[in-house]
Amino acid sequence: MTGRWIEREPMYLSFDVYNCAYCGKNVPRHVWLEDIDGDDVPFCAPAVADIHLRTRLRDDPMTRRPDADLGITEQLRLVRENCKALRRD
Amino acid sequence: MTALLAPSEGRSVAADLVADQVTLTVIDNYLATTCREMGIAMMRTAYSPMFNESLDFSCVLFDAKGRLSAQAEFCPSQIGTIKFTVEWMIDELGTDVYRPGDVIIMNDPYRGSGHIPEHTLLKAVFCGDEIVGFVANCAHLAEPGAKAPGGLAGDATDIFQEGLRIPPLWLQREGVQQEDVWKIIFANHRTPKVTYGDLMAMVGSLNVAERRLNSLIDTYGYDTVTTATEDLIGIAERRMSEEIRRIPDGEYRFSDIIEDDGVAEGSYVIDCTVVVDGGNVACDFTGSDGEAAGPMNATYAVTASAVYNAFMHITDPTIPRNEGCYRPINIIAPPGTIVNCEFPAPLVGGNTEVSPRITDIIFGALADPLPERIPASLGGTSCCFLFGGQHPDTGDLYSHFHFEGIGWGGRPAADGNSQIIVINGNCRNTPVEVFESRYPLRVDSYRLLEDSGGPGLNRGGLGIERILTMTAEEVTVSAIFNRMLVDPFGIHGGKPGANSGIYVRLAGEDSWSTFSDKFGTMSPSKFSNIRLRRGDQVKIVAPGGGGWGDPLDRSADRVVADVAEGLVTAEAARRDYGLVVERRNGAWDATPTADRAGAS
Repeated sequence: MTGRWIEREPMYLSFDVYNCAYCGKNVPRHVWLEDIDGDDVPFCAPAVADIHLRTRLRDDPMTRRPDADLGITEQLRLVRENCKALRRD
Repeated sequence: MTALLAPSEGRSVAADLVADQVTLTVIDNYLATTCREMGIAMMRTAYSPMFNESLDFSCVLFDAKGRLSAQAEFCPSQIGTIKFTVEWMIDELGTDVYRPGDVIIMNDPYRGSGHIPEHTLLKAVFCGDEIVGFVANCAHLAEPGAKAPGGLAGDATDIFQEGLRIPPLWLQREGVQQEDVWKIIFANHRTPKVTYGDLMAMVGSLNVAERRLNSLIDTYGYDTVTTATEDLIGIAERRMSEEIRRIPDGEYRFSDIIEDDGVAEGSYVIDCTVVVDGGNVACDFTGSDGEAAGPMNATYAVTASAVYNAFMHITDPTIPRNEGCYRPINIIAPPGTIVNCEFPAPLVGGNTEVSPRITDIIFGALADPLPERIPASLGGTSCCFLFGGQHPDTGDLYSHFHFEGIGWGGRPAADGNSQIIVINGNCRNTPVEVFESRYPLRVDSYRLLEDSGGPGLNRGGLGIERILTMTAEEVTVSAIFNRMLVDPFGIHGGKPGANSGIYVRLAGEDSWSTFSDKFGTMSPSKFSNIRLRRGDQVKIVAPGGGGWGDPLDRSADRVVADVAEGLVTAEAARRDYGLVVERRNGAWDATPTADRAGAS
């Protein structure tokens, strides 16, 4: 994982809108930016970026991971368990 | 009072609960009733027909952690989006900035709102110095300061044409109205008096909820209410998972079309793969078309809300409506697509048109695995008709958003309902009396449209036809319709419902024209700011629902009853149902055609 958290602070000077590159959800305040091929790609959380790399980009030889065949609901279960933006308790 | 636990799971679920079942049920119903009372307060005190007639609002309670703890059965599109809206507001502002009496306003679709006309108000509820919950409501203001009166410009090309976008701002601090914020809003809305009345009705609704929540805590204690809320969220999650578990595991795919976007030529495909895996479901919209040039885009919150809406319709309605019931339902909506557009794409039609299409797509995907629960396509458009101008009697500016009822799809055990507001609305349309007393429009006719329901074993519901005449020197009209070209689909052999339409006939003319033919609009169904004159007429045709099952299997008695009531013509009975229906000597008679006789 090569990324970093950013906090959009102060909000009134944060003009960018971030959507998680995996699920598409708007990310309000704390954004994980993952370096993918030199670009900062936003995610809800590092674990979500990891799932993205292991699944969505599975056909890209540069980012292919061994467990690329995770089922979609298993992916989403991991997202839910790891993503603060999706689960609050 | 509704029992919380389904009989089959009562023991196992109850064993995990901290609060007793009676207390849980009382608190669950109290929270839901509080949300309903919030809505009634708005209905009774607001200025605009959007509130007091159409009920285009929703009311929710959140716990201190910002989790949805209860909601009432108002507008489904808002019920789903408000979860994201409030979560965003709390995330952006933090939890340590509120004071008793503060009210926050927000309507930014790129911060979780559905579209600009829908304004959300949020208030933290305190017990002493501590926040014990949040109360919020969301409502559609008839005038958001867009390029078109009423806000829904069918040819908007970016978000800035769709109205005043408000980030989370303090509308009220410690009970004191923030004049600077109000001034900005009033300066941008065509009807500031109505805006004031409607927003104050929303504030009053929050006050009702605040009192009720405090009263509940006074009665039961904060710890009991908190524990019960935790339990209720857990119950809802488990019960929704149980419901989903009843759908056979598998991948189910369906797609449908948004026929045009009001700006550019071409249609847009929405594609969804529904993956059911045990007690969880994932709806993956990967493969849907890119975002539209015009306002037919949905935000993530709208797409998620439409998916939730579909599952609320096909699962047990007694499941508590809180955070938990949404957890087993997962959505993937790739950014930059028509189901998750990116700033600054226009999107005002996403909440009225894309939303019902998505719900129908989920139904279509699940039609085979759940034949006993899934209906055919509903008419699938809100038939948005906007108008505004200067009232000839008062000199005041007016602005209104009228939506029309449509036919719903035939169901496994019954015909579809006729003339009901679209599935994401659950609202009521503008009464004839309101058209004629508050606005300079006269309703010349308003009737069910025969043969508009898709033929089927269970027929689709009927659409309607309404003819309006302008009674002022000038009325500015706009529209966003869909299903004008693409049929509402039938399932299991059912036939499509009839299409929608919106037509114009200028004073002195004999025939009806599309707005494209008469005014050169790019789309016949999506346009803005067309100026009509006194005596000009508009005809709204609302679509019918699709049919369920083979129409040749519909009993002769039911077809005869439809013909006798004028819902189906004798010609359509012969063509679609294979029956020659005639009235002889005062009695109805039906004779099978060769098609029907051969099919039986």
